[in-house]
Amino acid sequence: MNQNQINVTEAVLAACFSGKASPEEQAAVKFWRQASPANESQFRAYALVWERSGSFDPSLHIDMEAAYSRVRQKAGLPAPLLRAGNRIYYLTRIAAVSAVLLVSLLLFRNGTGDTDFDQSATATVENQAFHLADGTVVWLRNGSKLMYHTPEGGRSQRKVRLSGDGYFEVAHNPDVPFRVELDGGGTVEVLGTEFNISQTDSGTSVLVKSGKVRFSPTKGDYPVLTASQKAVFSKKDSRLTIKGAASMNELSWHTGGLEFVSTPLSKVIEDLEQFYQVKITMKNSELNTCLHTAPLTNSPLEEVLRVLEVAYGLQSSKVSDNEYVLTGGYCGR
Amino acid sequence: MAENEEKYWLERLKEGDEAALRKIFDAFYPDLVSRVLRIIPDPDTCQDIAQDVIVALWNRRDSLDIHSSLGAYLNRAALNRALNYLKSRNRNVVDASAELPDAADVVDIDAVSAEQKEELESRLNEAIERLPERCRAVFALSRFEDLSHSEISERLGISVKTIENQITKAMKLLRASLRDTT
Repeated sequence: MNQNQINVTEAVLAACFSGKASPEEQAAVKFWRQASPANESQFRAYALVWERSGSFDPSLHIDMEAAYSRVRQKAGLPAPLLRAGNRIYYLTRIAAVSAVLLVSLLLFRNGTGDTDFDQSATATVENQAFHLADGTVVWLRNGSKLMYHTPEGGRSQRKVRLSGDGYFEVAHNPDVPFRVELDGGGTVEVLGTEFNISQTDSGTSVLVKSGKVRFSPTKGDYPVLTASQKAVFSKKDSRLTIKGAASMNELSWHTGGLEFVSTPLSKVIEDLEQFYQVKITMKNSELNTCLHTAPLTNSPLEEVLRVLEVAYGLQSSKVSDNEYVLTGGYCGR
Repeated sequence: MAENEEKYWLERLKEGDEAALRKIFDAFYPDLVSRVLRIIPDPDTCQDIAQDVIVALWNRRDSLDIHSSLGAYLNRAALNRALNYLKSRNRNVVDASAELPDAADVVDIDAVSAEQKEELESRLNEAIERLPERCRAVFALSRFEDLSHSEISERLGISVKTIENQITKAMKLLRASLRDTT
């Protein structure tokens, strides 16, 4: 018989599983499977190996800023620009270039100024905006408080004190650093940039949306945080942990919705659960590492789920009032 | 990146706008690195390859003619570079031939619960990481990329026989890694 001339090796099985086997190989495998129960059981063991190995996805922490500066270097682009807020970056690159020089100077200048503030503002609703004299805008969470100076007196520093949580869009002024003293201890010092501060009993977290920020939870030398980095200071063990933020969605109280940029689906699900206050179970763990990108939205959850259904071939079903189950699906651009 | 978004940034890239380079880098770089990392277990090499792919896109922006999606185009470019890298290393790689256990089974395939499947996956992941360099590369190319054994052979300049042997070896080693699962 013709089929017998093909020796069914693991490689032939692999070709079969990947759909690359020739018709002859397929026939040989079929014949071989039927020849004995032992062969059939071997076939199934290898099918399992093949199928389950599909989830192999080694992870790596990538320093995006370092990698991008390598790209610029390799492409022969001129010295790096400071990424100071998208608007600034796109519209006034010259200003951004001058900022680079000043960041290094100012971040290391230890100013001394008076800290007795003569003004204060407390948010009475969520995401309330406060405009400071220098053009900086601060959005406070309900109940959070900001103390600041009146502009007269020609102060050499821009300095405020924050109790609670606030989102800052700091006006670009390379001559005067902006400094936030924290109720929970420490300071955050910046130039024109956007970042979020969140203070709880257990500690403080600073999430940088754009630009550069230095968060000093105590006296001492702390690294400068760049865009998409999040620093969490734990009061319990006085440790500062810096990591890449998987998504910016802890800002949803400020932005009013969720947005995803190459966010792993497992994190997308987590953010959706938090934002919509529901429980979502995704059955297919192979999808956990798919990277999802979607613009800012605050559509009803059903619509968001429908987008996921279409994008990943999922089926969603509502199993109770606030519980959803996603089944099936596949990755792939 | 949505299709229309992709088009927009590609147009900006063609105009030489660096903001587009950054946008495309942010959207695709991590994915490119992890794809190559499946084949080549060296993070620095993988980052280098992914960077070169993005740089080449920038350098050729005047003459780009992309018919597929940008993601597919970049993935293909990364795969080509990974294959070239592997080919250039061919001469230097000596695979220590591991003693292959002849598979006595293993798992009752029909009675694998969802929980056990996860356990199996993590065992397999570790086992793939442990495969000898060339064995892993060949297996990953066959498992994760749309390449037949003869295409892999051609691209790496290794005989089909060797490719098949490497895949057989990988399959056996991976299957053996499931051995003591109950």
